[in-house]
Amino acid sequence: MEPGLLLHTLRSPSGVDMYPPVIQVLLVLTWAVHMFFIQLTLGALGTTIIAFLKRRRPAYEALSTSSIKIAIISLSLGVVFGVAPLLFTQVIYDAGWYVGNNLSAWWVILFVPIVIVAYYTAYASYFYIRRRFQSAFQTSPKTTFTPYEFSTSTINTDLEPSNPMLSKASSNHSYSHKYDPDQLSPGMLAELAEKGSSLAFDEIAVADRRPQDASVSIPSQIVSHKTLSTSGLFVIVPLISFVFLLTAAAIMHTFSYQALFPERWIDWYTASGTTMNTDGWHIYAFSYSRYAFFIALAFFVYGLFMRAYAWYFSPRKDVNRNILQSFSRYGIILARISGPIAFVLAILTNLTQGSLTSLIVVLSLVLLGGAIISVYLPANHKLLVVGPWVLSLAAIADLATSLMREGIRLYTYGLYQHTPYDYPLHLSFWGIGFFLGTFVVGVAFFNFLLRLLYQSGRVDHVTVFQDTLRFNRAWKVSWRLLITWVILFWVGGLIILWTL
Amino acid sequence: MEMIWLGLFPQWYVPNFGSGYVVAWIASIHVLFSHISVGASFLLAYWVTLAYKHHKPELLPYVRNNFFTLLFTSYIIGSLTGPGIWFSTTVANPRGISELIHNFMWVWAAEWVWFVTEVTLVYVLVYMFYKVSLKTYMHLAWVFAIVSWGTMLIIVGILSFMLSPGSEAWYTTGNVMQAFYNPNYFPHLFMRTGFMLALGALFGLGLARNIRQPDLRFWVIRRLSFWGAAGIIFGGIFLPVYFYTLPDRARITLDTVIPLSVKLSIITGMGLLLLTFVLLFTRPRLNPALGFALILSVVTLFLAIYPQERVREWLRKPYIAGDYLYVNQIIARDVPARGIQSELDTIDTNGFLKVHPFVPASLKTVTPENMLEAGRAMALVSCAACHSLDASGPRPLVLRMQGLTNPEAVETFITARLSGDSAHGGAPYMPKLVGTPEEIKALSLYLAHLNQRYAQSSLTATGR
Repeated sequence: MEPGLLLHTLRSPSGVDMYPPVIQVLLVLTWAVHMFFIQLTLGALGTTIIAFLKRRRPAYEALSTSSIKIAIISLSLGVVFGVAPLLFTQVIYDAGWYVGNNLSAWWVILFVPIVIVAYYTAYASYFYIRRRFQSAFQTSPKTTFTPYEFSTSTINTDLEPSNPMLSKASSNHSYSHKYDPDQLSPGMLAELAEKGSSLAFDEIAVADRRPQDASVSIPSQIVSHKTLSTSGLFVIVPLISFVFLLTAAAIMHTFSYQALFPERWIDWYTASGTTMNTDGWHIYAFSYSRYAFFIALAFFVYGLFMRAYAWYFSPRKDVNRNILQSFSRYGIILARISGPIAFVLAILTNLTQGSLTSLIVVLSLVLLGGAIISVYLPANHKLLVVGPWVLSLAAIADLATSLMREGIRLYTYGLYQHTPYDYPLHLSFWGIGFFLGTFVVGVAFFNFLLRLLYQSGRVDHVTVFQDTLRFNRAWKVSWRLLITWVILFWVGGLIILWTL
Repeated sequence: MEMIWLGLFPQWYVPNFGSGYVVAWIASIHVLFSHISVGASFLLAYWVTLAYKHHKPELLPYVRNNFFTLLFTSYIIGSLTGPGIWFSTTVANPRGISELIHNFMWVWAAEWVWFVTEVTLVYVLVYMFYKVSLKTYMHLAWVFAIVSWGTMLIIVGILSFMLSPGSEAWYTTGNVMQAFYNPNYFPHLFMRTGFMLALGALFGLGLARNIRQPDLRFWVIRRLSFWGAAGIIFGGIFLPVYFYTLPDRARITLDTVIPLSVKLSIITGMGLLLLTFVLLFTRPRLNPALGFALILSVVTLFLAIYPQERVREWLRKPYIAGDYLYVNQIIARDVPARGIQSELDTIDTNGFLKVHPFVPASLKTVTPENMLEAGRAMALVSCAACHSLDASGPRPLVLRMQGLTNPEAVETFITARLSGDSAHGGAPYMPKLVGTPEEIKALSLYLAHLNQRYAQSSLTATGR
C-alpha cells in the first residue's frame, strides 16, 4: 500500500477541531516545555551521580543535594507537561503515533512501571543525600521536607538564651488566641504547636518578617554538619534511576522514530506479508544519533539551568555564595562540553534522515548552533550570568529541537505527498471557548503563583503576600476567575442538558 | 477496481490475558490513586481551614504528613498511570482513543491546564510549608482541591460520552458540549465525587496514627469517618440515577449479562468501606494503623474499583465510544455532523480482510489453502479486541460457542448471535458480524477448529 495513502487512510474520520497549523504551533511549543523539564531531570540525575562520586568536597555534596531535588520536581513537571504535546501529536500526526506505538505495544506499557521505579529510586536518593550531605543553604528554615520528622524537630531554645520571647516559652499554655495566622507560616505554627508554646506571637510575627535582624529572629533549625556516614555503594540507587529514565526515554524515542517510516509499517507488522506480529514486543527502528542528541542536549540545558539557579538564589542571606559560584562554574563547563557534542549529533541525525534539505531543519540547526555558541562568550557576559538570559538560551535550544523534529516529520511525510494541513476541519467554537476559558483562569492563577514563588524563593523568611498589594490583587483576580469557571461549568452544563 | 481501505490499525493481542485487561488494571490503579488524591485534597483544605479559622494549628503537622504522602504516592503512581491509561488504550484500541481525542481535543487541553496547576500546587504545598503564611497556604489548598476536582469534572464527561452521547443531538450538531454534558454525566460525576471523598478519608485515616495527641487523633478519626461515610452515602444515592440514564442496551447487559458475583463484589467493597467508617466514627479509639488503611485500599481496589471499571467497559459494548465505533475499530453508524459514515456495508461488500491495511497480502483473499489462516486473521480483527483466542483469558471464544465443532453450525450460530437483531438471537452487546460470505465461512472454520482443539485437550486432560 502506498505510504501516502496509508497515512491518509489512518486519519480519524472525525477530522480536527482547529486549523492544523495552529495545532502544529501548539505542538512545537508544548513539546519544547516538556523537553526542558525532562532534560533538567536527566541532567540533574547525571549530576547527582557525578557529584556523589566526588562527595568529599563540600561543593559537590551541595551540588548533589540541590540536583537530586531538582530531578524529582522536574520529573513530575516533565510528565505533566508531556501530556500537551502528546495530545496535539495524536490530533494531526495520529497515524504515525498510533502505529509507531502499537507495533511495540508492550514497550509502551512498560514505560509506566519503568518511570515509577525511576521515580522511587530518585526519591530514595533524595532522602539519603539530604540527611548526609551539606546543602548550599546554610541556616534555612525547613524549606525542604522530611516526612514524619516533625515530632523530633525542636526550636533550639538554647541557641539564643537572651531572646526574651523564647524565655517565655511554656509547654502547657494555650496560645490559640494569640497567634496570627496571617503572619506565620504553617511550618512555624506546627512546630510551635508541638511545643505548646505561649510565645508572644505578635512579636514573633514581626520577627518572622525581619530575619536580617538577627537579635529577634526565630532561630531556625541550623543545618549542621551531617554526621551520618555515606557509602559509595549507594551511588547504585541514583544510577538505577538514571538508567531507568534513559530506558524510558529510549522507549519514547522508539515510537517517535518508528512513526517516520510509513513505507515500512505494513512490512514490519506482517513480516513482509506472511503473518501478523500481534505480540507487541518488537522494536523495528531506533536512531542512536537522534537519541544521543537528546541526551547530550539534556546536559547542555542543565548546565545553563545551574547558572540560572545560582543567579536566582544569590540574593539569599542564608546561602553559601562560594558553593553557588561553584554551581555556576560547573554549569558553564557542562554546557560547553555537551553543547558541541549535541550539535554534532543533531547534524548526524539529519544526515541519516536525509532532512538537511528541509528549510525548517536548517533554521532549527542555526538556532541551536547559536544557542550553543553563546555559551562560549566570556563567563561574565550578561547572557551567561543573568538568570532569565541564561534560561533563554536553554529555551532557544529546546524550541530549535522541537522545530527540528517538526521539520523532520514534515520532510519525511512530504516525500509521500502527505501533510497535516489538509486534515478535514470541523471548527469547534464551543470547544475552543471551553479551553480558552480554562486557560485564562490558569494564566491568572500562575501569574499570582509564580510571582509568589519567585519572591518567596529568593528570601529565607516567610513571604507574607497580603502586604504586597499587587500579589493580593493577583490572588483575588485568580480566585474569582476560578469560582466563575466552576459556576459557569455547572450552570452551562445544566442548561445544555435541559435543552438536549 | 479501485481498492478501498479503511483506517483500521494493527491488532495487539495479549494471549491468555487480553489487551483490554492491561488497560483495565492500569485504569483501576489510576482510579484508586486519583480518587484518593481528589478526595484528600478537599479534606486537606478542610483541615487547613480549621487550623486557620478555628485556631487549630495542632492539625498542621498532620496536614504536612498528608501532603507529602500524597506527593509520594498519588503523584507518582497516579501521575504515571493516568498517561498509562492513555498509552495502553493507544495500543489496545488506537482508533477508539483516536476518535475520542479528535472529538475532545479542546476539552482534554482544558483538563491539562488543571493537571499542570494541580501538580505544581502539590509541590508548593509540600515545599512551601515554611515559606508562606497560613492564610496563603489555606488559599492555595483550596485552589488545589478545586482544580483537582476540576480534572475529574472534565474526564467524567468524556467517560460518559464513551458509554453514550445520551441523545441524538451530537450526531446532528457535532457540538462537543452536547457530547460532554450527556444525561449520564451528572449521576456518574456525583457517584465518583462521593467515592473520592470516601477514599480520601481512608487515606487520612491511614496517617492519623502519626498524630501524637490522643484527643486530637480521635477527633480527626471521627471527622474523617464522618466524611468517608457521607461520601459513600452521597455516591450511593446517585447509583439508581446512573442506572436510569443508561442506554437501553447497556441496561439489558447490566441486568442479564453481568454476573451477580461482580455486582455483589462491588456492593461488598463499598459496604466494607462504609462499615469501617461507621465503626471508626463510633469507636475512634480503635486507632486504625497505616497497614489497615493500605490493606483496605487494596481490598477496595479488587472488590470494588476493578469490577466497577470492568462493568463500565462491559456496559459500553459493542461500542468503544459514542455509540458509533465498535470495539473492533469498525464505524457502525453515521455521524453526519462530523462527516463520519458507517463502514458496515463497505466491509460486507469489499471484505474485512481486504480493507484492513494490516492484514497480510497472502490472507486478503480467502482460498481453500489459506482458509484456516484467513479465519484466524478474521478472528483477530473481528473478535480479539474482547475475546481470547486461547482457552483462558477474557471471554474465550471456545467457551462462547456451545462447543460447536461443525463449521456450518458455527456459522449459523455466529450469524444469529452477531446479527444485531435481538428478535433473532442477536446479543445487544455484540457488534454486527461483517465480512464477505467467504470470510465468514473462514472465520467459522477457524472457530470450529478452536472448539475441536479445546474439546480434544479437555478429553486429554480428563484422561478419557
